[in-house]
Amino acid sequence: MKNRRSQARALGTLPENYLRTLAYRLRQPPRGFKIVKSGPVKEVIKLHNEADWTELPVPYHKDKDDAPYVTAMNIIRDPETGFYNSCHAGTHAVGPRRGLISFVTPHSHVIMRKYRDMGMDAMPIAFVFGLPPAYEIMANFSGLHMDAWGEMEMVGTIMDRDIEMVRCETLELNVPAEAEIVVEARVNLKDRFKVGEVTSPSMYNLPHYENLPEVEVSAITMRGDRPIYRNHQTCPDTDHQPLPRLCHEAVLYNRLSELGLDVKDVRFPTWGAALSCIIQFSYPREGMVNDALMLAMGAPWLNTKLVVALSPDTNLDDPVDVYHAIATRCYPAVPNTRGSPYDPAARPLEGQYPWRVVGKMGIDATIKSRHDPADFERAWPRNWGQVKLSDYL
Amino acid sequence: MALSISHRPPPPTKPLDPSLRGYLATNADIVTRVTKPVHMADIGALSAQSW
Repeated sequence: MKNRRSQARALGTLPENYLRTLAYRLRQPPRGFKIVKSGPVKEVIKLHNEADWTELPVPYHKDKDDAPYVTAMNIIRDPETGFYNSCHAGTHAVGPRRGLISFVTPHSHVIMRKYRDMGMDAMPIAFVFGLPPAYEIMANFSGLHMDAWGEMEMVGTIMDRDIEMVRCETLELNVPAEAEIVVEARVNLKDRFKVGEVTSPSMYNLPHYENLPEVEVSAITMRGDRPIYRNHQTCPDTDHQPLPRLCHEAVLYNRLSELGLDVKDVRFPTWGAALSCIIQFSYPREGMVNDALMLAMGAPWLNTKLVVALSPDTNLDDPVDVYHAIATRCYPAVPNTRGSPYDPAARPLEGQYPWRVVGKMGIDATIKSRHDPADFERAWPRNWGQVKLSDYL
Repeated sequence: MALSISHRPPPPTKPLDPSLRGYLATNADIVTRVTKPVHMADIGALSAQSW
């Protein structure tokens, strides 16, 4: 899911129509889902002590991992509204039926609090492996649900087709009938356990530790014929950077269009460490670009530290082209320094052709000596640089 | 008559597959196929290299 080609295939459209399609479908009402009695994911059923998720091919993600790391989509149900919330909460598989789960989305924490407030000490959860990628795009939605849906109710909407759900074996929860593997579990809402060295989407080992709730596995169901285990690798630049931000892009597309801009694209580029956003559009008059930049920087997510506005002629698939536009088209805030006669953004000096004046900017992107040096250690997969994919094809 | 801007995308060309294995078959031209055995310790480093 790292590029527009595969993202477009997930929605059944062309790359040039992808963002407009996702933005349009997110504006539509929830389609919900159909409940069916059974499905392919029920071909093999392992209950209680028979269910051992360490038998699944769960990989370690980086050198500093203490346990295999599950990155599957998970489903939880809001006990108040009944809506189905989903995300990809990374989970350390620390035992045959035990995991430590890292919920990062605010909505997941709200739902956990509702279960606690209702006097319950456990929350049903299902880990779902192996679904069409449109499920993954929608599962990673973060933002207002308008009190009208959870992510699962919108999967059929963005796929433009009905989806079927089937009841879990040990939980009051429904899961996609066409999934490859489902792990049923309960989240312990009372206790927390310390886990070290998170793999952040910024590709560092941050934060250095978390206090996480545990999950207890109660069943595993799967297809009978070679069920597919889907791994979302978290480092280095992988699905981990763009996937949780694809719906961000569509939401921003809608908001920027409301400003009256002709939006061509919005990207949280895979190479932007999930901290930078590119907005690309043409505009009818002065003043609109700064409003667009402020709109993006004021987004509800913590991913718009750096926002760059670009014109439609820049190739967003090419970081070199993006850097070239930054170098040649911006007019920085430090004003009136000597400009290059080759810089089109610099202001021509009247009567002194071809000389110009320009602003300058300095970006300090060095390791900060005032911080803990360990904060800047990059996270890498095990054996990174030692194995080549081309040797295995 | 007032002008209006439509943000409606073109309709989908064909229905999406309901399952992952159907999706992988339909989109085989963009799927990287590993044909040789891979050690579990190398899964991360190898999958991170695919596009």
